[in-house]
Amino acid sequence: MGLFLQQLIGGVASGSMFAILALGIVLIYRSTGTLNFAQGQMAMFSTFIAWSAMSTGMGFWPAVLLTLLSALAMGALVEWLIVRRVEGTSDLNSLIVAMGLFLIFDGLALYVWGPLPKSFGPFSFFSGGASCVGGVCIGRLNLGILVVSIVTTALLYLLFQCTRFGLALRATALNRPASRLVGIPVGRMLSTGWGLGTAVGAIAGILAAQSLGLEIRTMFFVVLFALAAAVLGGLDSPVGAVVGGLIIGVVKNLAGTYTPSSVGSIDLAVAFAVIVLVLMVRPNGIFGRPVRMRV
Amino acid sequence: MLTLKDIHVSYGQAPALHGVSLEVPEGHIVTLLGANGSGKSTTIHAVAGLLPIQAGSIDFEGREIAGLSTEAIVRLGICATPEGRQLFGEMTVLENLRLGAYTQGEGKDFDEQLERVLTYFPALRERLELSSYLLSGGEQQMLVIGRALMARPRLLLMDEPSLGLAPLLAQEMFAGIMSLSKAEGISVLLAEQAADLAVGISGYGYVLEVGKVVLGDTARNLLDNEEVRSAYLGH
Amino acid sequence: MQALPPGLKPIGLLLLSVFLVVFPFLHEWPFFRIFLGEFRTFNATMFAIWLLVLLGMNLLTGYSGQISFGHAALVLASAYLTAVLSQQYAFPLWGAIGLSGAATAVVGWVTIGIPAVRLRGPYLAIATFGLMLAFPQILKMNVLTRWTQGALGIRGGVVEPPGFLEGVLDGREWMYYVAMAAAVAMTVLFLNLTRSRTGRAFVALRDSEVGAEQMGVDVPRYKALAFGVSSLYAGIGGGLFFAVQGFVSPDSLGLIDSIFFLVAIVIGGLGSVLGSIIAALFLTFQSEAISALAGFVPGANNLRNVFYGASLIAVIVLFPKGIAGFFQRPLWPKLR
Repeated sequence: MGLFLQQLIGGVASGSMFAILALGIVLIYRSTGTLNFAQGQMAMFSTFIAWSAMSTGMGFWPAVLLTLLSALAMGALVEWLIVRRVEGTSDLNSLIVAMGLFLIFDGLALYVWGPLPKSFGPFSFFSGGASCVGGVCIGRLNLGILVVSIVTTALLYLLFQCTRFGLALRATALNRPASRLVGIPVGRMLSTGWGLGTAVGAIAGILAAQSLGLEIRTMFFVVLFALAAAVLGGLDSPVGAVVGGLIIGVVKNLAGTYTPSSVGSIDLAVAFAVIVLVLMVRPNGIFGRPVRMRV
Repeated sequence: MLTLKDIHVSYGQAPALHGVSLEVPEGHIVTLLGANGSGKSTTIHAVAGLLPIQAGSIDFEGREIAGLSTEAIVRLGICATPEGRQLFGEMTVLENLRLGAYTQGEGKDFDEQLERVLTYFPALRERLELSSYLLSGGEQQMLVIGRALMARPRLLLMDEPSLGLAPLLAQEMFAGIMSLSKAEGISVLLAEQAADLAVGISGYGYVLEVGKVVLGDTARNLLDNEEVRSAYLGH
Repeated sequence: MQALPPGLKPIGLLLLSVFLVVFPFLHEWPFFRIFLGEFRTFNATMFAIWLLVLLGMNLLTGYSGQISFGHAALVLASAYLTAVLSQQYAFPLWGAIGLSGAATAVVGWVTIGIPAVRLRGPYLAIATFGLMLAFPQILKMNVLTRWTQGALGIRGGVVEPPGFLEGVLDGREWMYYVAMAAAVAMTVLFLNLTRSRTGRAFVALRDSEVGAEQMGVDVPRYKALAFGVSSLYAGIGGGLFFAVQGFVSPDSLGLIDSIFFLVAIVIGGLGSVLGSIIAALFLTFQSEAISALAGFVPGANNLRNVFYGASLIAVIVLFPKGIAGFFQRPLWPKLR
């Protein structure tokens, strides 16, 4: 039971990281209907920006702030310059463009920062002794990840539910013609959606680097868990992304703990199995709306 | 107040409007009559900035608005209530109304505006926290108009407001539009299939046929015109 | 080829066949030796294999409008099946390749194609993306090492030509003929298929699923079928891949290869055989070309993906028909 609880907590912590990466995917999907397969590589790219900033002597939090701002700009720019060109043409085109972005950010990072892993944390916020309550402990790294994820999610919730700007963002995702008719600058909202999604991804990237280190392929597999989370929750549901992320984190951890070593590691296979299962049983996820067919 | 001069619009290669000219005088209701596909909705969309215009000019209070974005046009005081009601279905009635006031900023007079709109549509008051897709057809139409009013428009563009409403409700709605226009001094450009009711509340009307204005006159004269009566007014 | 005047077509085909047949020996002629080494035979063999894979991918994406980020996983699966059958169960190599191709086709059709019918574009993309990332790990699982030999991969023997050709051809040349023959045969099959009723049904559902339905196309059936046929091509390609490389490991092909397949067919030209041929040339020579480029432009090697990603986007935005679009008839009048 102790082991189970321990793994459960660890799962919730890593799941919260998947959750915010998935949240970024969902924000972007809701904004332009693009499933951003480049989310992981863009997050990795942002994390490298943080690394660069810190290697010039900047402190951790200022570097994080700088990274978030540049990620916001980067995402908005990508929407404005590239994604808008294929908007509304076809799913196929937007998926191909997402793959193009994947390659661009992958290649740019390789060009600028090279193939060698960088040491990036764990920074003081994420390191230190474990905190225990009645025999069940949570490591400082996991606690840090959990706190950052909760704060991120809460801020996004406030933005979307309690501000006029958030209301306009939601409106744009729901009904674009109607948004135009009430005078919302729709184009700017779409860019903002991408910007926010990318910035949230950057947070996930920084969190992932605390435990996995930083290199080009850091986010390669993390993205799979985030995608599984987004599919599980429903691609257009932010709440779903968070719940999905937590479920995936817990399932992954428990599967890792209780699978006999004779089978070998199966975490990626589990994520894949979840995707397939959800798509078979409930293709719009737990919280998703049914998709409307486009003619 | 609003003057369209020789507007040309096409969908791809197919021309939809060729040379529509018309005028909406300040404080008046003007109805567009015409069969399906005659270009009524296209005219509304063109004025609202939802469609690009190939040629012609649209003058609103002395300003050229052809080519402006919908957002900019809304900010100038022109609001459209589209056919098919275009609500934010999953949002509450209150959220829809808040979005209507989007161009007005988060000003303190939001509550005042809300009160003003709710006095026109008291039925919405008890439904403020309800998701708007749960409203009845008539209530949804009220909400669309109420949402447009929140932006404090001086010109309302209404596309088929009676579509899908029971005759009695439609009658009530047109009465509502008339009193609203009178009380607020709002001009209205109305595209309507249920033309007799619409012309009944209008000062002027235009008849469109395949993308062209074939007749424009006062509502009274249109009602007296035998041809118009038999073709569009259903008796 | 459609750009050729009709009278020249048979002559063109004849010249092409002669070229393909004598290709492995061209480097022995003084004139060709300048730019053809013996290594080119291996290049050409790989070209044939990529052509098979990319024809299948083009059928899926360019014709039926479905996308797969997991095609490299299908190729890898078939390569493994061929390896296991031929190395551990003593199947004759060619039989193993055929069987693997058929098995991949059935797997693609039944376990991916039919379920995929219910999925819209992005969801199918996620599922295939997931398969791609998870598959190498599945191959490495301890329970499967008895067959897959884990991360080490499986080694194959050197392929020898049959007895009557001994002394005429070496193993490498023999592989070239086998792969090229397969590629040519399956290109012809592809041409026939895409010009048939089935091919037109594919195109109809790429252009608009709803439209295709209204035209009376059985959309689910054809979507699944496209996945099946596409997997057959990937499967045959995968079997030959093992035979040619003589080795396969969980990391032989990965996500990046799947993405490169996509880059290749988009740049080559979606929905066209010529496009697939250009795509296969691209895939065969891209790394060599980039290395050569790195001689002039420092850092070109590292910028490779940026260049490919940008090209991918540029092609989709500016020339949706890819390079092949410039050679094919509909575009000529515009160019003049």
